[in-house]
Amino acid sequence: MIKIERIEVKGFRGVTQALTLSLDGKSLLLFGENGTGKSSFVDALERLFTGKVSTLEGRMGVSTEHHGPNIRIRAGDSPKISVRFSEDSEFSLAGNGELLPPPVKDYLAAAQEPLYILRRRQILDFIESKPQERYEQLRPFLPLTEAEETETALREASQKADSERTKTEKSLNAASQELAQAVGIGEYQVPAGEQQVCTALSVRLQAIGIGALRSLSNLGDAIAALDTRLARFGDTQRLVTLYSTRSRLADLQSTVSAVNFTSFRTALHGLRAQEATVAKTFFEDVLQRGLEWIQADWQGVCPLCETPWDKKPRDRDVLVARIQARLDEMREVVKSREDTHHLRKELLESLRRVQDLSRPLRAELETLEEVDGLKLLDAVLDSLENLITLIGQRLDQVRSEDLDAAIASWDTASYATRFQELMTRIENVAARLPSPSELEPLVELRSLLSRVNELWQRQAAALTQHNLARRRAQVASTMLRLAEDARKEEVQGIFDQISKDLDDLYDKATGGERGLTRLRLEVRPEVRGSVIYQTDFYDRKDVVPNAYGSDAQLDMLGLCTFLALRRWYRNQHPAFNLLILDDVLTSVDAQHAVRTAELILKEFGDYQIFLTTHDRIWYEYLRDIQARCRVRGQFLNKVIHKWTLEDGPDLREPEEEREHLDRLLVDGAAPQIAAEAGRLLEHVLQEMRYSLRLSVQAKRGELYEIGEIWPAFYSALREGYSGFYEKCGETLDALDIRWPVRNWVGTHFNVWSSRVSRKEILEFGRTISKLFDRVFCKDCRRFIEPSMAPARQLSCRCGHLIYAVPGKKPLKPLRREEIVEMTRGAFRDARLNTELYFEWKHAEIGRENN
Amino acid sequence: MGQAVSISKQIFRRWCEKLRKDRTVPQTLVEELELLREQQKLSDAEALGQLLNQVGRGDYDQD
Repeated sequence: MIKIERIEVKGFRGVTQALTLSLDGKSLLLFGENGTGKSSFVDALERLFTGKVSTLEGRMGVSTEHHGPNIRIRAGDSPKISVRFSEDSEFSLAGNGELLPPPVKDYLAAAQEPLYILRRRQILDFIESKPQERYEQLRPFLPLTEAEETETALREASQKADSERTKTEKSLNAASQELAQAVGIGEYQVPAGEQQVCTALSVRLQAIGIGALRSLSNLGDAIAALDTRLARFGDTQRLVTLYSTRSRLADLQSTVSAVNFTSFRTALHGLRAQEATVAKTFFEDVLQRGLEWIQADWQGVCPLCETPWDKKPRDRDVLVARIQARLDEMREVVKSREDTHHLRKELLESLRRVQDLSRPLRAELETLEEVDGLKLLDAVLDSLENLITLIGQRLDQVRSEDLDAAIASWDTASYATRFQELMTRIENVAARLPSPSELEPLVELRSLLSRVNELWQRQAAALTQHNLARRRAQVASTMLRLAEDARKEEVQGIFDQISKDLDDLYDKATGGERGLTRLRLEVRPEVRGSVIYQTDFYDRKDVVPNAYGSDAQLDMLGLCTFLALRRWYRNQHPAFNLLILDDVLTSVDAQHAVRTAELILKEFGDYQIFLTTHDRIWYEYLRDIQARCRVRGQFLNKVIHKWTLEDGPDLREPEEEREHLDRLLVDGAAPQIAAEAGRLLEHVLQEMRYSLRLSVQAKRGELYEIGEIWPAFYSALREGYSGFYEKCGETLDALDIRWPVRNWVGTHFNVWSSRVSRKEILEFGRTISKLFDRVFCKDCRRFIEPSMAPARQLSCRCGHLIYAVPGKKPLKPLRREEIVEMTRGAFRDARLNTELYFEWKHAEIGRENN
Repeated sequence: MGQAVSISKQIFRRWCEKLRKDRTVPQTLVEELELLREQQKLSDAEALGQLLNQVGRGDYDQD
């Protein structure tokens, strides 16, 4: 199992100087008062593993890149973060991922999503977030990328199929409309019905003595009957073509004259003029958002490039007014662009209509061998082609001068004259043919029947295409719906597993107290990517926890949810065993926190856990809980004694400080000795402030200096612990006079320092070393504390250092096994009830008297 | 990492099961989807579009 052996950080967040945490694969319990740099180690790990610090991202003006490095880092330097793993490999910000062994690579791959870090401020986020935000928060836990990518592709394919369905529907509508108009049906269905068409045609056929049309499959028979009637007029085909051509020409003439370039041309010229005066590119959304940012959060920094500007409200107002004016100006351009686009669409439609009418007409002119007409039509078609290509480009590519040139080549007046000449020629030819008045209705009907035949087939083809497109769209939509259902069901299956674990963890952490029960996460089937919390509260079923849960219960719920998710994520990445809880346990009340801590240490025993806390008493509890859960050997317990801007967190162990002082006492400079001795004394006082429960005037951040604790410390030991004072009174008295030496010589330069002799400073250092030996046990590595019994006795945890009350025999503190036995096992899991506690307390007092 | 793949696979299986039960979806298409998954082309909208274009043609109509 891969474990972190060592963490090195320099110049990142609160860590200024190079600092090493040697874990040797153990879990870590890190205590430090608020603002001493605990979270800097968590941030450093997150930065190294994920590339960013999530708490520095997504907030206005804050980013990992700019605010991750320590503020004292020298220009040109970059932060250094590295982790050494148990596989004898090291991973650092410098980036050596390629060379790492595969198990470490797997570890780092799993660590890329920060799903193993819970910070105090995040604990309620998940519970209080909206269902869709909650899904987004859960999303990294779920391996759904493949499913979601498939859904995205399906959605795209489905949209395409749907747009194809709409397109074919339009074609079918157009074909039906054309057919209905040709046969003169006012009201029709889509597709136009065969019977309706047959009835309309039958009226006209019967008028000239041809039988009714029962089916359009008999259209050929009707055409043949008409051809027989027309045979006596000679070349009827030519006649039919002539009449058809005349009719098409009339249509074309009116369509051509309806083509209107002016509106589009004017709009385009206007638009180009506006663009020339304003700007070509317009990012309306960017301006709009920028305006909102500036109005909502005037930080004196540009929201886009973070360049600082003056913070004067007047400057902001000027800037806001400028952006607003620019937006107004730009909106005019957008409106013009939309109008021009609409006019272009209309123009293109009318040009395509001319194109559609010209093509069949050209075929007829070929049949009639009308050479001049063909030349005219080819010229029209060429010109049309050019115009459609030019106007059909992207709007921003259509140049007004090109448009003017193309329009100039389109001579509506000339076309109208020449069409009229062609029409006259065709009418003259038709006039020369026999009995036109008798022939005309026959020819028209013959032409109509041919056209209906053609249109009926076109409608049938359009209907086939539409049915096909509709079916494809339906299949695509069904596929997408079923894919979403499958994903939701699978996700719900995962949530059911997580919910079961959550319910179990919550039950254990709350000691089975009543209240929120049957906790579960549920996918909202009707909404894409949405998750709700459900629970039962006494006799209320299926309610949201926020409705009834107390703050403590909701805190616990947030924590247990994270733990359940973490465990589920571990199932997918068994080799990744990191769990970081950054000061979260103190968010819940003490009773629940103890149970939760036990739960974590027991149920997550195979994880490498990083626990941080800002609460000294809670730190001590956690050390006891480690012993109770028999995992003390698996933990490295560290204390950050203090933090300074220049040096960062001070993580040294008391023995290390003592050894350093000893070395300095041999050949160190006087100010160095004074400073180091002062630091050790400060450390001793910080520790014993808690164990002796000293009354000290409250101070923000609880970072007390020697002068603020010493009087209470000295007085408590002298007056309250005579056994200790009897043995160490001389040391205490000496220090009561000398403790200011540290400030005179070791911390600040002042006139007093020149009057203090080296001998005096050496004496100061030696006295502190002596005090340290009196109060710190090398065996159990604990400072002495008041014993449970007898009162006023001081001893370390293991009993190696005992300062008995004069006249009483020293009493060694009980070992854990002895307490467990005395409390009949109740101490084992920390569930001492009051009765048992008093029973045990009496036994302790009894022991003192024996 | 193994589990991650299997969840996608389970979703896919569940999806295919639903598609098979649905009468409007041609069964040949479900088989083609399985092939697409093997080719890792399920996230390719164009490939899916081509598959959909087969609906109403040849074997797809006989489902």
